Parts: sequence; structure tokens; C-alpha cells
Amino acid sequence: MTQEPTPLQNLLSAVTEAILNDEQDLDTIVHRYAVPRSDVEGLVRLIQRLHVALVGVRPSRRFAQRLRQDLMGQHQLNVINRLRYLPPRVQIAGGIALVVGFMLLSRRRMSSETPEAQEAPALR
Amino acid sequence: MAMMNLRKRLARQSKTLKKLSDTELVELAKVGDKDAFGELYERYLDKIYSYVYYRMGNHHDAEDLTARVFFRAMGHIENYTERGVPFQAWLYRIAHNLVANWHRDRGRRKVIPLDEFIAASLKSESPDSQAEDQEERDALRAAIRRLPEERQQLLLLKFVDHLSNAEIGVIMDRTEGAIKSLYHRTLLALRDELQSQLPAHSEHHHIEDHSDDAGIIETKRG
Repeated sequence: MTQEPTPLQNLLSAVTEAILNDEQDLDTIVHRYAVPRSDVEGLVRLIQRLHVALVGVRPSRRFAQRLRQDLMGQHQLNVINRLRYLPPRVQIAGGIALVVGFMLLSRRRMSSETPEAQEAPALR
Repeated sequence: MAMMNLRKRLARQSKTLKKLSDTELVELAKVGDKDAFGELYERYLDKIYSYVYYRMGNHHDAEDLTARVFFRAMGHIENYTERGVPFQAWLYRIAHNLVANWHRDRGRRKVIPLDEFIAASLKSESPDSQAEDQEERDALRAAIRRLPEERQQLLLLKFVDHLSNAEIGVIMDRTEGAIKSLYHRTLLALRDELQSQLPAHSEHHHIEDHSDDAGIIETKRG
């Protein structure tokens, strides 16, 4: 079930498009639609304010270049890049897990070596 | 095989990547042409970054999420088929999903980055009106922040990324008519929000109808 847009809805879309294209003559557009003037004025002013307030933001050139390089060289650096773009918490957790894992392995190795070391003098 | 033929055909036509359509670039990217994906990246980086930036609230998270959007797109481009969803809309959907997941996982309030006004440098305005305009913008952005997510999304796609109703409809999976209707409701809600929160401002921003001959709009941005 599709509902046809009302004249006011069409008008708002047309006016918005004109404002986004920096067109000056909005009156002509407004007069094309059978919409009471009082219904339009405040909304058109609001659309103009939105146009001023919500503007495009560009990423830094450094970020853009680095990401492009990472994407283009993805086959070689796939894992490293994916790790780099993980959330900081995950990176920290991963780092801690690696350190703990390394420590556990070292400890296990040391504990398995210690009895031999103790036994050696007894054999003599 | 068909992809390779396509690639050769396109090469024979000596088109530069910049002249190729999104669809052609996607087909090349699917067969491993990194430069083709690089061209798609150049085309959409600013738009995706803007969208993500306004949804995240700061540049650090915007960079993180933007990178993830393009990595995900690159990783899944082989599975992408157009079928009524152009590449641009597919990218926005990825961005929307990642942002939504981020907010859901972290239980954070959705914040539009309205405090750092780096974006202001992209548009010129007279120095005399800067203080007043800044106050207006702050009030407006605060009101936008209080809107439901889909209405924020609609405003960002329309005003930040300058997408048409049809394009927004594809991204939000709605008809063009439904987008017009949602846009109307969003404007009414935003106006009410402004009036309820900042009565002094709303009074100031309403245009008085002094004469039938008067222009309905005073073009502020000249």
C-alpha cells in the first residue's frame, strides 16, 4: 500500500533541493504548490537553518592516504590491518591475552625444567 | 571468465577508471582489481566519513568506523550484487549497520558531533553573524540529537551527503513517497522540539508574514 505524497510534502522536498543547490528564488517554487503560506514559512526557514548547520566533514588527508594504502596492500598486511582497526579495548585485551599466554607458557616450561635441574646433583 | 572478458573489453576501450561507472568498477574490483576499488574509495570516502562522523561524535571513532566500512566492503564485494541496491546505497547500509552495532554494543547515547565545529570551515559566512549563527546552530544540533535515529539518519543523508529522496529510499529501504512523508514529520518534530526547548529562538526564527507581496524566504546565506 503506497501513499501518495501530499502537496506540502512535495513542496518541502522541492524547496530543500533548491536550497541545497543554493538557488535563491524559492518563492517561485513555493507558489507552484497549493499549500497555505502559513504552513510553509516556518518549515522553509528551518530547512535553511539545517543547510547551514549540517555540512560535510572531510577526513584528514593523512587518514585518507593511510587507509587507502592499507586497503590497497591488504593482501600482504591483511591481519595487521584488521588488528589495527579493532576497537582500542579489543586491542588492549588481545595484548593482555598474549602477554598472559606467554607468561603461562614460560612458567610451564620452567616448571618442567626445574625437577631435572634438581635431580641432576643427586645423580652425581 | 566473463569477468576477465569484461576487464579486457574495458581496457580496450581505454577508459580511465575515473570515467567508469560504479557498476563497472565493482565488476573489476570483484576480479581483484585493486585500483578499481581504490577509485570507489576515492568517490565515497568523504560522504561515508561525513555520515559516520555525525553519527559517532568525534573524529577518532569516525576514522575507526570509516576504515571498517571500507574493509568490510572490500572483503564482501565478491558477494555484492546490485539488484536494485546501487553500490553507494550498499556502502551506506554497511556504515549504518556498523554505527548501530557500535552504539548497541557500547550502550552509548547516539551523539552528533555538534560541539567541535570543524565543518564550519567548509562554508563561508560573514564574521559579524558568526556568534549569532553559532548559537542558532548549537540549538538546532541539540534538537537534532534528540530525534529518533531514523530521523537523524534522514537529515544527515539529505543535508550532509546531499542525497536525493530516491537514493535515501534505497538506503533506508523505503519508497520515495515514504521518505517525503518521513521528512515532513521530521521537520515538524524538529520545529516543535526547537520551540519547546528554546522559545526565544523559535520566536526569532519564525518568519512573519507582513505582506502578501513579500518574499516568503529571506535568503540568509547570500
